[in-house]
Amino acid sequence: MTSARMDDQLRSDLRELLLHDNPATDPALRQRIRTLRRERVIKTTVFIDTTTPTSIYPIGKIREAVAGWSEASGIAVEVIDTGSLGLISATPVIGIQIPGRARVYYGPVESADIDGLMNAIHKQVVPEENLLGQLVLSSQQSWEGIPFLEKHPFFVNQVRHVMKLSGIIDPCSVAEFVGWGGYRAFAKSIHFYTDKELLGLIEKSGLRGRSGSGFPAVRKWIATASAVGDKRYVLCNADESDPGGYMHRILIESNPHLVLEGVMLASYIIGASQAIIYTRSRYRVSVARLQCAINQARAVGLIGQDILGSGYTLDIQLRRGPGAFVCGEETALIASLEGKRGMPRTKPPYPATQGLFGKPTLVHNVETLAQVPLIIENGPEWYRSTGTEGSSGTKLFSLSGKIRRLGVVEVAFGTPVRDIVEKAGGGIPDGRTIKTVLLGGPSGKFLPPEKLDLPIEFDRFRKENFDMGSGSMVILDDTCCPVSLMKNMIDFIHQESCGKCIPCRDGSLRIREILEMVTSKPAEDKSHAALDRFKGITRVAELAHVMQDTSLCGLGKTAPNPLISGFELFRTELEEHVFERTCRAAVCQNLRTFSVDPVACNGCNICYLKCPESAIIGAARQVHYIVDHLCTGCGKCFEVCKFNAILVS
Amino acid sequence: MHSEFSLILRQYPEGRRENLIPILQEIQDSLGHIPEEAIAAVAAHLEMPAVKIYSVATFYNEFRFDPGGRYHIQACQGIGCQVDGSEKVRRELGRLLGISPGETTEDGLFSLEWVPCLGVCQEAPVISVNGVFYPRMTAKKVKELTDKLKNPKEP
Repeated sequence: MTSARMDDQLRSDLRELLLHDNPATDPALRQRIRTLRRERVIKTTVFIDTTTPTSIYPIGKIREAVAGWSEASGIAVEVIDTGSLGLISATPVIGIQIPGRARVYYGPVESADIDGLMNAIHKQVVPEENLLGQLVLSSQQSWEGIPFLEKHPFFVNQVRHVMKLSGIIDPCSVAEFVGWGGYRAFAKSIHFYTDKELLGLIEKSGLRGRSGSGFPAVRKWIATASAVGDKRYVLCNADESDPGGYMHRILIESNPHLVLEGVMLASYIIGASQAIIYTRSRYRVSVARLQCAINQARAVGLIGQDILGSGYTLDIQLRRGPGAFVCGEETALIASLEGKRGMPRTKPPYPATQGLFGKPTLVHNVETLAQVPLIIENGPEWYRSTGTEGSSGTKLFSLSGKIRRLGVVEVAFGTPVRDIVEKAGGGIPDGRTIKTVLLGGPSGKFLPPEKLDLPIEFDRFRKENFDMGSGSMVILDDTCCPVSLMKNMIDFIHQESCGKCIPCRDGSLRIREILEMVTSKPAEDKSHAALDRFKGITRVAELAHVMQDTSLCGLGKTAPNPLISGFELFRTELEEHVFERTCRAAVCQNLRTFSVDPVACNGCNICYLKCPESAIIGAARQVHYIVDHLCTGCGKCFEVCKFNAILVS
Repeated sequence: MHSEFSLILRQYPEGRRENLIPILQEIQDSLGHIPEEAIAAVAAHLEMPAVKIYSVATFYNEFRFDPGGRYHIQACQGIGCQVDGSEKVRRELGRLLGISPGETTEDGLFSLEWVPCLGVCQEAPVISVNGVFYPRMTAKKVKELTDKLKNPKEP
């Protein structure tokens, strides 16, 4: 059921569920809910994660293997596409559920494993290899002696509110979402609550924007609701384009209806008649799933005129962002929706008073809006019971870099960063030591290892002068070079700067040039190069502060963050680059020098043949020699040498 | 006028500026790039000068104005890929093909693009060729891949 077509029976069933006071009291409805939730299945069901991270694997082969097994065994199998559990490093993940029993999840799975798994589970045996755990839904019989999914080390310290259904439900099934209680908060709100009452609930919940600044959501909402205008808009910023952050994408692809419900509730509360979701065009799966969710919600009658007979009218559109990092800034996003270049403008006037087409507009990101249905459904007291006094609820983080378990984690506010890295993430692989954690991508800051116990909390972070960013967390170990990383990040900022303010446009270029000089090849130094390098490095901090103080929007203001925090934290390493011209992590290619160990070299000639720059001289069975000024430091000779005769320094 | 453009433009009967980006996206979806005639057609439809259309279209990374190579290579510059050595992969791609991102090789075989995140961080560093992903790339694998694409017949 991917199109807007939906049979009348299902539509009326769903409407009945949505408008029922308490479906749990009605035994017939309870049975129906169990079926909708796929708690009760009548045939073997296989759940396959088909989010973006799985696009690299041959998922089609897994499907074929399931179909092949079904044909050979004569047992009917239903295959459901799901979202992601969040544990990206275990992809591809599949879940297998036979009638009456709990669902078991496996990952990573290959098509060759399918026959064995299916045979074993149908013989009532759960193989332990690659097992993630079993998921027991209330009326199911659990598997004895098999670990529970929520006890898996990745999940055990998480508090999953917005990610609760991710990887469990079919993201393209409104029926399943409604079966889990979805859209009930919206149906209830438009029938029984006024916008003032709902605004009170949001205020009591202490909801804060999840985009990094932690601005109290209710202040924005009140400002938008009370602004003068004949039309109001809600914009959902799903244009996640931070290199290193993917939590919003996973949430959208796993549970688009939750995001949609958040948009609907926000629209109702501020009195908007139109909402627009702006997502990256490049994220094909996100676009498809959001569009499918919108079509389905429209088919049920949750979008359109006179929703569920309440008299409220709302239209939701999906717009594809054509790719600009700066469009994450709200005024730039609005400009892009108006068909202009996505350039930020000065504030005030804030979008709350003059936003899209000059009308009052509420802009929030995916994660913030996804919290709203939970607050309305469970009440602000429940919401506040998670997290800390000043920061209530949960926060999503995406883990990447040098870490054992990659993925999207959802933790309660107040959880120390260390718990996320070491418990959920499983620590650093290969016995390496942690160097730093970069929070917030190219506009974030480096968190030193001794501050890992800092709890995730807006006010604590502000006090310590850190920035949470939108929640991307990149873990670096001692094989990573912070200087090269800073250079790449400022390069990204330079590419993505809209060009409006000179400090950001030219400042990022100058910083890149300075870092370029710091990591340039010593043999290519010309005339005053060393002097320029010293001069550059002594002034780069000043330049960074000018960028911070004089740029207009968040992109320019936060762009020097990694630089400023990195210079403090990695001063010695930076000085080594500048003065000793070495990179201790051996990442900066230009600073690596290669030489041949004359004892180990037996003259096999392979490095001579493979060197792309013809920088190696030597003949067969003679010791070779690397010509320093020709060598680009690509490391090819090091890779091909079978006798460990190439030395790196 | 190309029939494709008129079909797309007909879906937006009111020539409002906010439709500019969706129109350009649809043209690119159907043609793979935005040819010069399309810009002129859109300009006429929206009653805007062509230069304004260019000004908007060139601002965004997604829009291309040339058809690109037969193999469009996207290399991830996400931080996850970076710490696993994507810089080396990107440098090797540039070196082997002799082009910078945004350019196409003279034989029309390859075009190159750096993208912020391809979304498959668990297999970093990643590149994609015409939408097919290649995991855990190294400089060596880049060479093998481009050689294979240049001479598809050889084993």
